[in-house]
Amino acid sequence: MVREGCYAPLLVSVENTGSRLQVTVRVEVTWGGLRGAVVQRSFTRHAFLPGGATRRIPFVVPILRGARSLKVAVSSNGLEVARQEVDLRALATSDRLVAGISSELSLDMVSALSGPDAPVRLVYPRVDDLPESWAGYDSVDMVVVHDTAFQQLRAAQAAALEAWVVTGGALVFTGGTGALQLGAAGLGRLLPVEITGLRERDDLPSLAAFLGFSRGPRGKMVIAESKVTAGAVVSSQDGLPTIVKRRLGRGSVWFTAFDPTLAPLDSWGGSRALWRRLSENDRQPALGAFSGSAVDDPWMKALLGNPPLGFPGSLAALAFAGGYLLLLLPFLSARISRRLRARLRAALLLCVAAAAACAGWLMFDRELFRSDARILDAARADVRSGDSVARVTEKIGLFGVQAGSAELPLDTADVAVDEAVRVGIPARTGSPLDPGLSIDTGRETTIRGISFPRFGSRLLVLNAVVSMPVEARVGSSAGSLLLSVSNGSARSLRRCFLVHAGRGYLVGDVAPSETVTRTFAPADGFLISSAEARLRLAGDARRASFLDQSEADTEPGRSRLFEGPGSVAGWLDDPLIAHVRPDRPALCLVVVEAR
Amino acid sequence: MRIARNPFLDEGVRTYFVQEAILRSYFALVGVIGLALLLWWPRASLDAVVRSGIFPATFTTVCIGLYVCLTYLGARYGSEGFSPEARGKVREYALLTQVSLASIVAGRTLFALLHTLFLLALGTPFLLASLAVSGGGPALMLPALLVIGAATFAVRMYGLLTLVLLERQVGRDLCLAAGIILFLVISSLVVPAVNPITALLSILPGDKAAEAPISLPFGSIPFFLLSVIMSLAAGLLLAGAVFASLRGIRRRERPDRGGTR
Repeated sequence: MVREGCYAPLLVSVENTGSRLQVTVRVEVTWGGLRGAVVQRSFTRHAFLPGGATRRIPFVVPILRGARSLKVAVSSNGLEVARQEVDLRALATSDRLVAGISSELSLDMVSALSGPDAPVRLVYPRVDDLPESWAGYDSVDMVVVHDTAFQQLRAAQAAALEAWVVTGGALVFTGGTGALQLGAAGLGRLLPVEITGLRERDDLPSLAAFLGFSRGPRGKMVIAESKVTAGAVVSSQDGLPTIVKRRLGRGSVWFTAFDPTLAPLDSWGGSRALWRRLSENDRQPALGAFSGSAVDDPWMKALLGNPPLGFPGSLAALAFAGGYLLLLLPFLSARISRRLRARLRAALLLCVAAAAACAGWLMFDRELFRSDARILDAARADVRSGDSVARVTEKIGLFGVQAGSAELPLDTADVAVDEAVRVGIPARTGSPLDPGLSIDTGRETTIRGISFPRFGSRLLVLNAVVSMPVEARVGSSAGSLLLSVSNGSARSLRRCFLVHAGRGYLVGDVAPSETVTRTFAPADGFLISSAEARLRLAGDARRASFLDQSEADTEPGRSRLFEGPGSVAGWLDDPLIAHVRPDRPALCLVVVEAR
Repeated sequence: MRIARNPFLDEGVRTYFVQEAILRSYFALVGVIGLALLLWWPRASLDAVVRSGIFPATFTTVCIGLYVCLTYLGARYGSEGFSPEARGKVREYALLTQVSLASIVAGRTLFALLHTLFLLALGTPFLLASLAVSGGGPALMLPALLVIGAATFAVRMYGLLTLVLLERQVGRDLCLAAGIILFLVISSLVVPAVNPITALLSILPGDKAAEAPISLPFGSIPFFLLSVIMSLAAGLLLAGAVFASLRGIRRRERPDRGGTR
């Protein structure tokens, strides 16, 4: 089952009954695109298959509304050796999904979260099939880990789950006897507690109080004893944490010391309220989060203007035409070159024309203007102090002058690639299928075949979770504001500023591995509500415009820079995800939520 | 080597690179194309062009401007419009000298071809300057030059034919203007692919015709190529017509060849 409008995990199982093979597995998804044109996106992975081997190759594919089919093709040395087509219409659903990791089908009670307009379906993936990419969880609202049947998750699977939480997911670890498996399963890094043992209890009045019920569950239940390692205890009974919550990025990790799938909790009246509380999140699917075109996108606008991305000025054309005429004049005037022999005159005229042609080519096709695609890059990274990971949204605007195609190598392998509406000449009736773009994941991930028509544009939206150990602490002492910013990343944070209580304070650059401390008097800050103050903080109009657009564009749940309790923001010089050199300086804003 | 020593080639060079009126015509040609470049130079920013979908037509305009200018000049050069005494020369060569008619026609045709290349070279800097801002690549230069060059050659041979057939310059001018206009109008209505202006409009990618090759019994050819082939064929046919006309004149007017004079 796949949810429309989200990325979905796909496992392709390839069995090689012959001799060893180097294969390329290609997955193609097609859907009705803009103005009825059929758009296709393909994903490729390369794998080595020894004779008699079976390999399962993971993909994450976008399932847009209207997605029609999914084709999987396996080829070796350019020859297609296997092919399968899947009709997505039969598999797609618009219901909300909850993933339950459990050895038994014991979490069906979660479907009680269904509302009249938003039914909830529960899916039970096998531990071995869990995605290795955070985008593989894009379609689920909540992941409940009951037990892993004593299986250990691969490191990539655990990392994917963690990254998904950072993007806003809700992860619930249930307790009881199954909790003893969690650490050994490779999920210890995510757990907000360390399990120390088991205890039996007959009631949990504190749980009732937490949920606003008069009576708690009564009956024998096994409670996991634990020590909190991260997060906060939101409910405890006799000093024993019963519900612990850890904030991680935009999402949250919950731990319930009890097993809500067993009696007496499964039949308790507050069970539904408990699941509702645990599943609360405002996560939006990464797919289709942005619409619009590269020319109208607010982030791109900040790059398009100031200075304008344009053609050489008319003065350059005038200088060229005038210069050419002036060079020709002596050879075309019988008075000036009366004694010139006819053949010599013809040769000299040809030389002048050839020189002018070279000059015109160099001036207008190489120096002042190029006909290859322009790349503009704008990004925003959000970090919570202490998380060491950032959720990054990077928009890449490609502006094609000549019809052609481009490719973008990416620095990060686990990237969800999305595309907003394309502007350009619509496909003619009967023209070949629009190739869309192809994402090639091998040792490095590369987006290939990003084709565009003459004077067309494309806007790619890349979402990723990257390591960014940056921390900021804000405190106050004797009316002064104390700030400490620690940059543990490998990149310099330029022109940092602190936003606190509606005022902005300039901090300056923070080099890699540097910790900067500052003390500010309230009078040092600029009132952030004024555009002039934001311009002074940002340093130039382009960045100030980006700050405004980024703030206006803030998705639900993402920290609003100018309204939060305290944030430090700074700029990176280069793109975070794409490995490209953009045609304008990249705009990459890092927002660190201070402690 | 024989053809390189053709006296008509030499005479052509001495005429077309010495006469003041013709030199002025080159200057005017470059001036007009330069003006077209400036007038159609894109003034909007790239994002405005992408947003509006109205692409700069600089390259197409320069191409059409060059074609129109070369058509006019080709007709004038072919009919010796810049040197009214020339008609007498062609006829005198045919009537009063022993030079073979094939040599006269071959010399004139070859010079017409070479001179057309020279004129294209004069316009090439503007074509190259306008290429990138119009979203074109270097590969478009060859089709554009072929279409303009072939059409200019055909017009030039048509001018030569009128020079041989008609005595008065006014008659030649009227015949040339009527023929060219009729050709452009009729071809655009009946066989657009033969029309050089339509072919030039279709060169830049994204235009409807540019991506639709013409299907012929032996295969398909790019849209612009039909215009080139037809223009070259017309030019060679007109050269044949010039030869036939000169032979007729020589037979009719030279007593030693059975003429009445």
